[in-house]
Amino acid sequence: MTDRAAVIEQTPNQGAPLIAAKSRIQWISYLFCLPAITLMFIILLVPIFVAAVLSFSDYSLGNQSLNWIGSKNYEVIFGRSSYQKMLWATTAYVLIVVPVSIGLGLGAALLINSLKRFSDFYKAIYFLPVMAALLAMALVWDLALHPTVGYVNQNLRLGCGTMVETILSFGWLPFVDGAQSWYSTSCADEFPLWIGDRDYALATICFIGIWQAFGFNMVLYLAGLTGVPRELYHAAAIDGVKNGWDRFRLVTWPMLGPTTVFVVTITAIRSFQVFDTVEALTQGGPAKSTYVMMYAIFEKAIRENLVGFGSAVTIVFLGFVLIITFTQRYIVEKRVHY
Amino acid sequence: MYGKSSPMSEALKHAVLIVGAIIVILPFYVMLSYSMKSPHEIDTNTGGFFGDQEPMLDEWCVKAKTPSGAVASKELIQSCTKTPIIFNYVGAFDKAPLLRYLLNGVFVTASIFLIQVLIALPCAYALAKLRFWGRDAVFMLVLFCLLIPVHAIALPLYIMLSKVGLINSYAALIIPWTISVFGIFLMRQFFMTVPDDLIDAARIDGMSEFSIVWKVMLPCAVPALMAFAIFSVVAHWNDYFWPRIAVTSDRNYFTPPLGLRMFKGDSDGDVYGPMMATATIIVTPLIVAFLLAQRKFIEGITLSGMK
Amino acid sequence: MANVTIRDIEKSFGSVNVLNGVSIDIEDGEFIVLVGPSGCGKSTLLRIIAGLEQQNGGNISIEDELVDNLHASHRDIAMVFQSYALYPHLTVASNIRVPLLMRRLSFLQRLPLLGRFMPGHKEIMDGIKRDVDEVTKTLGIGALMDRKPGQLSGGQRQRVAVGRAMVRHPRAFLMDEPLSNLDAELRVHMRAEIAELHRRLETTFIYVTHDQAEAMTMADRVAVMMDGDLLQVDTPSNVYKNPTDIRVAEFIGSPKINILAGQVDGSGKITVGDRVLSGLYSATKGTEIRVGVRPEALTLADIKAEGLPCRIVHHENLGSEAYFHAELNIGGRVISRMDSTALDTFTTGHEATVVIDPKNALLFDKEGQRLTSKIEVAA
Repeated sequence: MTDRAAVIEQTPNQGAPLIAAKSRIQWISYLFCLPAITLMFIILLVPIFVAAVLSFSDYSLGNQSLNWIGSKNYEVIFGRSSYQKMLWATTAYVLIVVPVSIGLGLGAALLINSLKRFSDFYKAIYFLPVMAALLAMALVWDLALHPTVGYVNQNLRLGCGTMVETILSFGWLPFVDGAQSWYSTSCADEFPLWIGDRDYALATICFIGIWQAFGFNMVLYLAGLTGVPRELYHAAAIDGVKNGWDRFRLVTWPMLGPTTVFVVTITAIRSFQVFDTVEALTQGGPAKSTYVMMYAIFEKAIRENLVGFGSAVTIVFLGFVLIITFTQRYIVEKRVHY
Repeated sequence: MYGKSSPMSEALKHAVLIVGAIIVILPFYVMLSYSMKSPHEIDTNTGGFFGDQEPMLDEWCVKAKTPSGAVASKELIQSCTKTPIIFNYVGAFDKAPLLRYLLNGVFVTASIFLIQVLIALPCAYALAKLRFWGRDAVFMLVLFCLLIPVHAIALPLYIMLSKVGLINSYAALIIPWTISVFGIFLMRQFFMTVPDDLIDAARIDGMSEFSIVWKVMLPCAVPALMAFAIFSVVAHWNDYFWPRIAVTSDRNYFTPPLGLRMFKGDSDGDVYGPMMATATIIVTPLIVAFLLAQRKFIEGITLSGMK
Repeated sequence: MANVTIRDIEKSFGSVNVLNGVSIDIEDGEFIVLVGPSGCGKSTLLRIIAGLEQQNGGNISIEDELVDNLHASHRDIAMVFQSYALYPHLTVASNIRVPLLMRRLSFLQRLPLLGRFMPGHKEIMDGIKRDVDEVTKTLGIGALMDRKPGQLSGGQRQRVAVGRAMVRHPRAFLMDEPLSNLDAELRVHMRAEIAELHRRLETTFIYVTHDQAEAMTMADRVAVMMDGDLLQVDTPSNVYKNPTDIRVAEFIGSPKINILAGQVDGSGKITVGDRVLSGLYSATKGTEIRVGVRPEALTLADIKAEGLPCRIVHHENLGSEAYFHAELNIGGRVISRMDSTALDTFTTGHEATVVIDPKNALLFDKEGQRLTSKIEVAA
């Protein structure tokens, strides 16, 4: 008999330990993954199913039974004006906050990246809002933007009648009537109520959202910038690229592609979930101008116990999130990775 | 770049960045400043940054210590006079059990992170290093769940927790966050970079797979773990939405943001000072931690971002 | 068509001196190779010529005009980088177009959407297309026009990089180690292609490499640099046969030249160890010198022959020739290159004699400077 055959014969279980090892790994893996899988189902997947089911009912907590009402909830969401305002407020918020906070983040990153000194200082300052509890800072902004005692309006008022007004009313530009400018009319009349003002509330909420988010985007862009190969800038210089704009278009922006896709997705999804500022400052008003979806869910389902309806809003919300994410995946597949 | 930055353009860049920095810092300035000022100073926007710190009369203190109908004695008024900063910060802890809220916050945040690690690491290890039937399916599940923001399904979670009677408890605050799909994903990416040889050596030395996760993989992936920790702690210490839903009535389970929010309901105008003091107390720990370990924080964020 | 004059270039990074006053006169149309070990400053010098780095002292002239204050894009030079530096998000055709777009289109004509409506845009773009097509045909990459760099092989990427440089018909081509990322076989092939390109274009080529074989095979002249100093600028064959510095001798040629310690006695005779090198004399009497002998000038002979006794410690059979590593009895190792028939006579472990051909011995003083030697024909 060959040596090999002899070895196999003399091995206990004739090679079985190998198989036992494989199945041992198999069930250890299942054991390791079991808690995670169970929780994924219970905490992430089952609730979607629950929300989907409840969305076709008019369920409230405490009801004994489930009453089907078909797609009535969805019709209300897309039909009734107050909920159309909800969709509009949410979309407007996202469409304002995402580009602006990304633009500011990118701008700050480019500026800071090209500095010789103090870059860490600016990085730290711009990142502070990201670390601070949004609710806390929203309440501070609320106080600062208080129409009468707020820091902002008090200081804006201080500028009335002085040099500051002359500058900020832009009267020194040709064809501009200083007295008609925003600043001067506000001085004469009164400064906006900001949060309490139907025309300004959404913009103010957006401002706070941008204030909080752009530092995060800046940090991601700073990391992306370090990944741009320096030799590409050299090649561009030799090819005739002299000014910053050309350099940005030819090298920086394309190479930041993957970063941008990531930043857009993250910022968009986070913006969709805006809640803290609205609940603390405007409660969806005035006149539902800031009635975002998360707040609507909170108000309708938790406070007013209209769980069925709230579930429908939840499902619509999830739909939007999925659309954003799949759009991101699609773009990444096609264009951005070289 | 060669020939690029003249002193003029440097100065311009700094000018722009400083204006931006002022806007960014503004609320922190206001928060800190108002937390040290008297109600009068807040109303009139006087007193500079630190406030004049003139002793003021604490109305609540007087009302609390005077039996109804009686007139407050001079000694009582004396003892109830304090500097604004004391009024604010002591008031922050008095008006609501802020200490308890802070402890709740610490407990909840720490528990969430620990449980996340306990659940995510073994799973990440199995996905990264072990070959088993169904591995791809599990990973697909993870990728799919990455799309689901927990806040989005807050409502059904609330219903489910309510049905088992867990609302208004630590369990409600912690349970929905115990599964961190992001954590599993991040740690898996990192674990994949650990050399297989290291693991085989540990196996030959007789280590069980379970020990390998905690004694071999964990030490190798400390940077990723730090990034994960930063993400988790910052997100959950600052979280307002979920606690607002999960804790409806029992103040004993309030987390710090919930406690802060209660101040706004108060129509009593004197409350801005203590409110700002509370906000300062809530916001300070993470800010200080960030300033002390800036590089680590920023590295952590970018690390998770890139993955 | 340009001569390039490099005069006393100095450059330091912080406290580290990278270039210590380097001067070279490069002739119009010549292929000059800057060669030296890593860190000798050759890439820095190239970047200074290109305008990507600013020197601390000295000046550069192209066609007898100072270019020190000119931006890189105004010097009318083109550069091929070690990593090729192709724009990864652009196709091959777009990559090659970039230099022409930047130069021929004005700022307005280059604007993203509006540019194409500007007057003159179409004519310029047609002209650009013609030039790009011409270049891609010359380099044989026409079929790759629509691919992105990520989809190309190393050699293809290199050709695209060369194409991007060529399309502008610059006065001079600068190449920074363009072949080091290719595998050995491809490298040999590309060496010939680049040399052919030079012959066809008749433009000045300034080429940087750390590989002395590349330098020797491609250059009209070789400039050997080490530690920020320019050691010698000469034709490859002169650099090989008449190095002015021992470091040049050691750097050029593979296997490395053998260096033996020697003394010059009172009458000018040269001894190595205790053997006199017959037929070789030096003018510097009574000094310590170093004798450099290339492996092909060092032969092995029978132990009874006249020369330095040694023991063969290792031999390598390359098919047509063989290298013998021998340990001299006086100490020190030498390598001898001989025809492979020598393997019949000598092998590892044998005792033998090392014979030095005086005609090919190079003498250096203690500091490494080359000494003139006088050879007397044995009577």
